[in-house]
Amino acid sequence: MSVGLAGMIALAGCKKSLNYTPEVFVAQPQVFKDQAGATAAVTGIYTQLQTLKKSDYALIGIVGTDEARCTYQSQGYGDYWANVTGLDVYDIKFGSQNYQLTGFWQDCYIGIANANAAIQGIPNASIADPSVSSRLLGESKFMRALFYFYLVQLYGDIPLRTEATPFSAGVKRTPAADVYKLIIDDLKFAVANLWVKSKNPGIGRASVEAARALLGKVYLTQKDYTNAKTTFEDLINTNGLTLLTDYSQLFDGQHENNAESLFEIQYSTDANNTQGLQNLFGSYAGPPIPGESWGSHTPGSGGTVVMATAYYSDTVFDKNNDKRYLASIWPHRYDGNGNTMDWWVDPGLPTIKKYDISSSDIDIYNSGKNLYYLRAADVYLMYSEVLNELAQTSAALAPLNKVRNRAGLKNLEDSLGRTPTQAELRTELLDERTRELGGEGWRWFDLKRTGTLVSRVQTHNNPRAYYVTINGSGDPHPAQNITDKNNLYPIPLNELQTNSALSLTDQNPGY
Amino acid sequence: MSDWKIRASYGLIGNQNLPYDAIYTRYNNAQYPFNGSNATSGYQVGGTAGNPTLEWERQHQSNIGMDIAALGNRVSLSVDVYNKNITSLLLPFNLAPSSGFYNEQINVASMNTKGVDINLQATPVKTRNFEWQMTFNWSRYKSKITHLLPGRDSVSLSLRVGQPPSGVLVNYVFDGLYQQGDDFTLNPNGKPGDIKIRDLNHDGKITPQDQTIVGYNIPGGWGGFWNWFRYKSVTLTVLASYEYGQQLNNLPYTNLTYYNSWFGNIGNVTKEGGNYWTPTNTHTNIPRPNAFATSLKPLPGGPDQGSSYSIQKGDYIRIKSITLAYDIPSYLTQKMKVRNMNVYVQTLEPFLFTKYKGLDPDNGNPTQLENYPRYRTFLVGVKLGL
Repeated sequence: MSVGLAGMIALAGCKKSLNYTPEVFVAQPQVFKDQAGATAAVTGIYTQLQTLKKSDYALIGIVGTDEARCTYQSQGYGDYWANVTGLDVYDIKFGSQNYQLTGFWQDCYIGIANANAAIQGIPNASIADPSVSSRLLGESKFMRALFYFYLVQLYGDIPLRTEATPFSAGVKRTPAADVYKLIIDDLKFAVANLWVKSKNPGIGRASVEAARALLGKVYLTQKDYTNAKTTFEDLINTNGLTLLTDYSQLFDGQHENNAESLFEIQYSTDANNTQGLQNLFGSYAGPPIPGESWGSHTPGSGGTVVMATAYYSDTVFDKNNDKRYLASIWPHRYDGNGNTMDWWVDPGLPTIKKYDISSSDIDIYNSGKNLYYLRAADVYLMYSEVLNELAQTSAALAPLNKVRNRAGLKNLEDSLGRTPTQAELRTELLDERTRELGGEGWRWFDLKRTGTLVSRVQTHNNPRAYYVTINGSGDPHPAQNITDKNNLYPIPLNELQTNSALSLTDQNPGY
Repeated sequence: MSDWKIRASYGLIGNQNLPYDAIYTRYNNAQYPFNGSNATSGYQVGGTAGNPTLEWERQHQSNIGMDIAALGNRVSLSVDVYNKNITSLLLPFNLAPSSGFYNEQINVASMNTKGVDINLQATPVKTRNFEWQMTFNWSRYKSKITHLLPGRDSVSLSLRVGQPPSGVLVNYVFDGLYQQGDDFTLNPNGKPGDIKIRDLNHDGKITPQDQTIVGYNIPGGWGGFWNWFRYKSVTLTVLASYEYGQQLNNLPYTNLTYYNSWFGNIGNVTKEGGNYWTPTNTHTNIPRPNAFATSLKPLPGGPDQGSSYSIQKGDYIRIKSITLAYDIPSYLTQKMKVRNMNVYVQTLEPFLFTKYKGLDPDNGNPTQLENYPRYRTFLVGVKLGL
């Protein structure tokens, strides 16, 4: 294959050199020639994850759950935002042409295509150190597993494309079990070939710790509790897990890539490396602290798109003792006289604080703040869930209590005065996951895994009560709409139309 | 008859209008900020996939034309008819999103275009003091896909055999408004006064498969009309253009039908929006008002939002300019030591005649609200020849 390197043109006769930037492109054999090229191609896979999570696609997994909902007015911001709101209210916009769920699908598959290209190309690259080559391969497989894990949970049976699949080929929907098999194989490879966090060249790369935590989560999702237990114990015993002592430091923007973090999506204030999530999670009503200044450079401000449900902001926390409450939630907004603006039914409601910008950020649309994908507290809670499901309820309390103690709470058995039953701990863990991980993107998947999506959305996807009184039946309320079919997202219409192995009837049931 | 000419031509040409790297799968620059703020550069593959099997597009074009001039060249007419067959048509072909690419260039189809151009020039009056010249032209063409990929007569709702390759408006079919007591199976959250959509495949629900071709953004004909009158030293020039037979998706019309803004009194309302549906005003096609206009847009979004409710005829005649000019007589210009002098008043875009309900049927993409309307200009000028 010939190479289009136009930069080699010499212009004879010109005295001055032209200020000329040639249009250069690089094709597969040039990229996977050496270590630098292979590393650059792996970097491009991370870029895709950064793209996926930088704006409203990140709301998938967060809204449409019991802990976060779209605001009443977001639907009225225009057609685009009516689609965003569809993710929350499961209405007619929650269909196969929804912009966000179509874009999420596409962006995940762009990540998969890049991972596939790397998995195919890296073995051909001349890399002196074989452990570098296998690490790069491990990173690519970790990322491929990450993208497929999103897709298989959201959409069910999906086209499984590997490094051996030509991009122009039509691919049928592969049974979810086979997709999980590839995910597990990829993650096992990643565990065996990635480097530990402390040895990685460059903060933010996938590590053994990240791969073990994700593999454990995948086993848990498949209800393979035995393998999940082994995997989490390998992580805890071999690599170790650390919790930061101060929960609020996790989200202050000053402690990125901290000891608790297992895998973070990296952003920075460089051009093209920012995310704009605060604008979705903040509110344009007054400041959340009386007397503070107010604008696009201040924490807590935003476009009033997502708010906390009353369950997350008002009832799930022990507000007096749980340090996570005020680290996670802005409970009120204030006017110029320091009075609360709770009366303002949408912008005045409690919002989620975790995406607030820090002082070094550009503005609420351009934040350099990293996003957590996996952190140690999540692993402790998953490990607790695994032990509880294996009927080792007393043993399950220890990892849970680590998380509780850090938040300033007593051991659960001490609060209750007894050991909880297995069923009680199941519910307690669901509540605890919201307290600890609320708004971090796993909730929809937690609810689906535990079979509680429909019931908990119907019960808890509510704003504060007076809000309903004021907005009445005009509120786009998901309880009116969510049904069992919503445990799967619809396959995007453009996939069914353009994938030659699929037809319009290959849609998930009910869509 | 003073002149008579027949022309005929045949040509076979390719199409160079494609990216030079279309046969390669290209890696683009990408960045990721490992180590905090230092962005590391990398490569990402995506976008347009390379297709090493591409071949040249071939356009076979034949053309027959005729020029006639009569009455001492006072009337001349030229007519051109052409027929163009394109094989191996190069088109960006949408790939399945699961491929990780948006599209690839492929030799997708064959298509046929037939067209006519007519140009008539005449000088109906020519006397010493009064003269009238005019030019009128009219064009039309029809394109259709004659062949697609092997075994497929459609690639999407808008790209199918027998249909034009572009300009096809695909959307849901507006079926009037829901009235009280109607069956709401198709729109369970609907209320009386909402838009009703036709269930084309009769499966009891509204799905994207209920979309069909609801119009063509392709004119049946278009052209211009130029008139020039002279009475002694005064001339009047009028230039008009016209287009007919095309449809537009006038989304701003639905947005502006009536006030639907949440934030303060900034919304505009059209006059007919006032005739909205109420339980006592049921003989209307304007849906009931509501805070978010969901009664107007009850549907899953798509490439075209809304429904055929907003498809409108875009026929128009536009007076593009009118110029009234006067040549200062030479005995005066000689006194002023100039060779000639012409004073004029001119107006640009003065009139638009159309039944289209938007601002302008000939102004960019009508699905955008933000298009600024063309403005009417008045000019007064003097031309000097030194």
